[in-house]
Amino acid sequence: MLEWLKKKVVECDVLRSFDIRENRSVSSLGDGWNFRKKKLEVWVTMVGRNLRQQIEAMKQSFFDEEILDEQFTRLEQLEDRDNPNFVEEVLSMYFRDSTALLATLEQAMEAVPIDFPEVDRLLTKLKGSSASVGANKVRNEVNKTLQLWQERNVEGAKAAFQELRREHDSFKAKLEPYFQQLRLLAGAGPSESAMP
Amino acid sequence: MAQSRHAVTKEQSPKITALVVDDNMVNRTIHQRLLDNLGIENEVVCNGKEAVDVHCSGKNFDLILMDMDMPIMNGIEATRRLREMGIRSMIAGVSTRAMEQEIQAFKEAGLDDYQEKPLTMSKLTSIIRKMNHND
Repeated sequence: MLEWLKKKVVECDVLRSFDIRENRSVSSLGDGWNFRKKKLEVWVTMVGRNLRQQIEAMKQSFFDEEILDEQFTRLEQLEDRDNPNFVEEVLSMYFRDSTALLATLEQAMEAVPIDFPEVDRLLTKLKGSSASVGANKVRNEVNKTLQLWQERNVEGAKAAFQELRREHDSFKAKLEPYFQQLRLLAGAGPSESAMP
Repeated sequence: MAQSRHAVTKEQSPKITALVVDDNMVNRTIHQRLLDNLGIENEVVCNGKEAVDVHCSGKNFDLILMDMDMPIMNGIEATRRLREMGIRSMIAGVSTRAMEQEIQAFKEAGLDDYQEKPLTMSKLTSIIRKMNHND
């Protein structure tokens, strides 16, 4: 919607300059294009503001549901003009790693004989990266699985692992549209991103 | 293999240098960003052996952020080796491990400080303050 509106604003300028070139009456038609352009710009600002509110609401819901913790906010504070997409880049890296780690873990937990220290190491690795990106619920599920594993409760750990997997997939499914909306807002232009 | 990065210059005071030792790319990226924001020149390696190798090549760092669980050579072994080599840099263990005996083993290998992950700006500045105090 924002992209479409922006295109229409540009079209107004193009058509107005065409009219001037064709020596058509600037006073009436020119004013018409200016009016149309101003109206479109207001709509762009309103849509941008709505998008920003939606994004803020989504993020707040992640904190309210304890899907994210304050570490996510700390990552956002590391973004600047030189690294405007730092959080998305880190989360993309995290999901690439964590998806592969979960697959490796599933195999390792079913291996015969079981390599207990290896599964411990893999779970600890997942715990560390989940904590580093603020993935609160995922980290909690890793902790539960790890504790059962360290108690040598293999069946319990396997069941907890399935819950961990579900939580991870749910986290990924929720973050992806959030970053899509952020990209849309970033692409809207300086007037929208400058809105409080 | 150590990868160089040029930090954003924040001040003209003598530059602190740091080595990030972690097998996880997410952690390496975040730790580098934290160091960059403080104007600290930094390099990364992916395990304890690479940390030892980079020092054998003649490089030295004011600060080493050492993960504990790494393949090939873990943080405990790497810390012990570096101290045996006479490396007197500030080595701060940064790990997810929470069991007291594991942390103790890491400290006994020669750490100057230990911080539980996630590493934050306030934890990093506390490490640096400790480093400056020890100088």
